[in-house]
Formats: sequence, C-alpha cells, structure tokens
Amino acid sequence: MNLAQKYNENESTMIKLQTRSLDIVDVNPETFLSFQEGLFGFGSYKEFVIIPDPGEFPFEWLQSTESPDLAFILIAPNEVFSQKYEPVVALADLNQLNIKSIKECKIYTIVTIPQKSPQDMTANYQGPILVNESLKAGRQIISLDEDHKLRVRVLDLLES
Amino acid sequence: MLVLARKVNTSIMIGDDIEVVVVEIKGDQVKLGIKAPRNVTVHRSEIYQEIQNQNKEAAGSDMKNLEGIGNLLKKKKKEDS
Repeated sequence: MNLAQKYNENESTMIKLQTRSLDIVDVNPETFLSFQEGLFGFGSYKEFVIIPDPGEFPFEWLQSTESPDLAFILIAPNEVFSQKYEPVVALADLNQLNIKSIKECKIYTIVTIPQKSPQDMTANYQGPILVNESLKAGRQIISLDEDHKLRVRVLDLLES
Repeated sequence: MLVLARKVNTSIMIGDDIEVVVVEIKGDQVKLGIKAPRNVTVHRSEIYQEIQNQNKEAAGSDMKNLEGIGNLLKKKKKEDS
C-alpha cells in the first residue's frame, strides 16, 4: 500500500492527530495499535500509530496517540536492508501478540539519530517492535539472539 | 527484598512453576539455572535498563523533522553502487 492510498482509504473516518514532528496528520483510528505494556521506559503509553514519513523514506514514525510529544523513528529493516533480520522471540512474547511465529508479524526497529552527527544513526536490533496488524497490537520485545545489538549503525547496514 | 542463603545445587521456587537453581559459585560470580514455563521471559536485568535508556535517547532527540536524513541513506547507496 503506498502512502497516498494509506491516507485516502476510509477518508470519512479520518481524525486529526497532533504529532511531534509532522504537525497535524489525518489518521484512521482503525490503524491505532495497542501496546499492552507500553515500550521499555515508557510503560504508561499504551497506544501508538505508525505513520510513514511523507518525505524521508524509509523512515516511519511510531507516534503516541495519547501524547503528541512522544514519538519514535522507525525503520522496517527487512524492507530496506538486504541483510535479513529475524529477532529470536520468546514464546511469551509470541503469545502476547497471539502469533505462532515471527513470520506472522511486521518487524520494526527504533532508530536513534544523534543531532550533531545524523550519519551515526543507529537501529536497536536488541529491542525491536513487533506488530500484529490484524490484531492491531504491538509489543517491544528483547531478541534472544545475543548478536542483535542495541546500537547497529544504519549506514553500515546499507553496505552489507 | 527477601534474602535467602543457598548452597550449590540447592534452589528456590518462585510460585509453583519457576525454579532457580544455584549451579556454580566461582569467586564473585554465580551461575544460576532457571526452570520456568515457556511462556515466562527471562533476561538479565541490565538488558532492560539498556533498552530503556536507548528508548529515552531515541525519543529525546530534538529532531523536528527528518528533512535530508533520508538523503544520507540514498547518497550512501549511490556511493556503494
């Protein structure tokens, strides 16, 4: 689904959401994702929506629907990098998302962009975000693969 | 906090289905074995702390928009090809 389609479907049900970085965006509340336990360190925020950045592919925003100031930058590694990324997920996490295998969900990583040196941006491969789109549920998990590091340099991923 | 003294090869139960066994003690390091149902997640506590800190750093950037940031990636790709 491209961006235009995503924004145009069910136009009548769209609502305006104040976001941290994109000002006011029309979003469909049916795409809101419930994060039962929030994100690590942000346990009290339980609902987010994923909004593709309109200009800067491949970045997307994980925007809190409860607090305009809370947003994270995401990349879906398997749609961007040639090197496959498959977190090793504990059964408890799969159960929470009501899936049997990681293949049933969409995988995102949170990107940290240092203000002074954006070229050193890193993706968090240790704590990815998994989304079960049909359940409209998301969860940050800890990959059990110890090679999945907290800070993986994004520009290095493009080289591989 | 509950503090229990245990010897090697002894264990404690948490609830009725989680068992923590002292496997080995060497100097200041202790090896623990954990028997838990497969639906219980077990991680070193510092991993939680590190991911919390990383999340805070990711959310805390002043970045108002990503203008030009995507270009970094495109430029990189071009250089490589």
